Order: sequence, then C-alpha cells, then structure tokens
Amino acid sequence: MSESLAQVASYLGGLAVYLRNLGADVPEPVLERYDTGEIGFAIAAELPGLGDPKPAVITAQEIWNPAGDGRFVRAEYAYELIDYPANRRRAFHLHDVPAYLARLGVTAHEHCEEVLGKPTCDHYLGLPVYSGYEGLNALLACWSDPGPLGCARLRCAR
Amino acid sequence: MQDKQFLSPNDVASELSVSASTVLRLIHEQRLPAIRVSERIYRIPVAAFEKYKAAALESPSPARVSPEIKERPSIGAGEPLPEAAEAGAAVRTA
Repeated sequence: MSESLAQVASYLGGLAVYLRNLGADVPEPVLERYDTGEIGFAIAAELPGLGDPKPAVITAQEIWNPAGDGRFVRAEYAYELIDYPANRRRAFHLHDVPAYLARLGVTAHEHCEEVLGKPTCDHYLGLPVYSGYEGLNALLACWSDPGPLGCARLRCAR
Repeated sequence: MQDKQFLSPNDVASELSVSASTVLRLIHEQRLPAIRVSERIYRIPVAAFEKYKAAALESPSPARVSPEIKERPSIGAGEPLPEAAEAGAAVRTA
C-alpha cells in the first residue's frame, strides 16, 4: 500500500509516541530523504526498567521506495530488540531482497539469541512484518516476558 | 508495585479501584498504553501506568521531514549474508 510523504511522517511520529507512552526514551524522529529518491528513518528507544549493564534498546529502521505520484511503499525494514539486562536479542529483518531470495528463497528473516552474541543459527526463516507497529509490539512482547525467547522453535535458514 | 516492571490489567484495576473489564476497555480504546502479548494477555509497563496516572501521555504528531538529501543507509549493514545455496538445492519458501 502506498502512502504520501505526509502519511509516512505521521506514521513515524506515531511510532515514536507509541514507544514513549510505554515509558521509552525516544529522541525526536526525523524522516530522511535519500539520494536514491527513497525516504526512511531510524529510531532508537531506550526501554524503562533495569539499566544494568545498560537499558534494553529497541531500534526500528525502514526504507520506503518511491511509487510514483509522490507516494512511497515500505520496501525494507529492521526491527530489533537488544535486551541488555536479560542478555538476549530478537530481530525481524527484510533487506538485501535479491540476495536473500537467491540464497534462501525467502525475503524476510529473523534473528534470535537466547544469549546475546551467541546465536545458534545466523538467520531464521521469517514471515513478513506488515507494519512498524506489528514489529515493535512483537519485540515489546519479548521484552515483557521473562521466559525464553523460543529460538529453538524457529526454523533455521542455514 | 515498586519492584515490578509490568502490571497486569488486574493490577491496574486494583490500583484504580475499577474493574478489570474497565481496564481492558481503556486498553482497547488506546487510552492506556499496553503491550499485547497474545489475544488475551496484556502487560502494562509501570512507567506507562505512571504516565497515564499523571495525564502525561502524548498525542501523536507527524515527524519532521529533513530538508537535506542524505546518502541512503544500508539496512543490515555488517550482517553476514547467508551461505549461497548449492546448485540444484531446493528453494525454500516461508
């Protein structure tokens, strides 16, 4: 679905407020324009709670391709939770589409580390995440659950 | 409540002296921020509940659009690509 520049700016502002209202510390977001004609953004949110060794962080990055008539479509994303206090990581990615299609036969992939920096699989097969809100909520659900992330239940795309 | 990082709808109901169904209505109406863990499970960060009680929740507003043109970043930069599939190997689908 294509969106106007103003709609993408509203969407980005909404993502930042969504995180802030959950208690996260999020700098003022900026919608960037790139030399390719694409637009995009990167936001980083420090989550509330334990800050030892440092706070849990959620990042969201998106790139939107021009679709004509001043409209854009979401083409690449990376939503990522690095939960430093719990020492684990979860991520949903879609990028380098031709390379992933050629090598894995899928576009979306995921990362899951029950112990930060010690993945048992480099890339897990993923399903597309349809919006930033869906990606962020899935990561927030992981952050709020003290149990295992469940990496062993995912399908390794090695 | 001080030691907890997350509250259940029942915890919030108890704090506000309302029913759990009232708390769920506040969540569904997006008046009380909550994390949807599953269809029936919600968790409310204590920090979000404090904002709610202080009437400090923000309303969404559009992000600023940069007037500058920047170099396109590479999402996933530094992430090793998966090994190339062997010739003749079956293509996997998600």
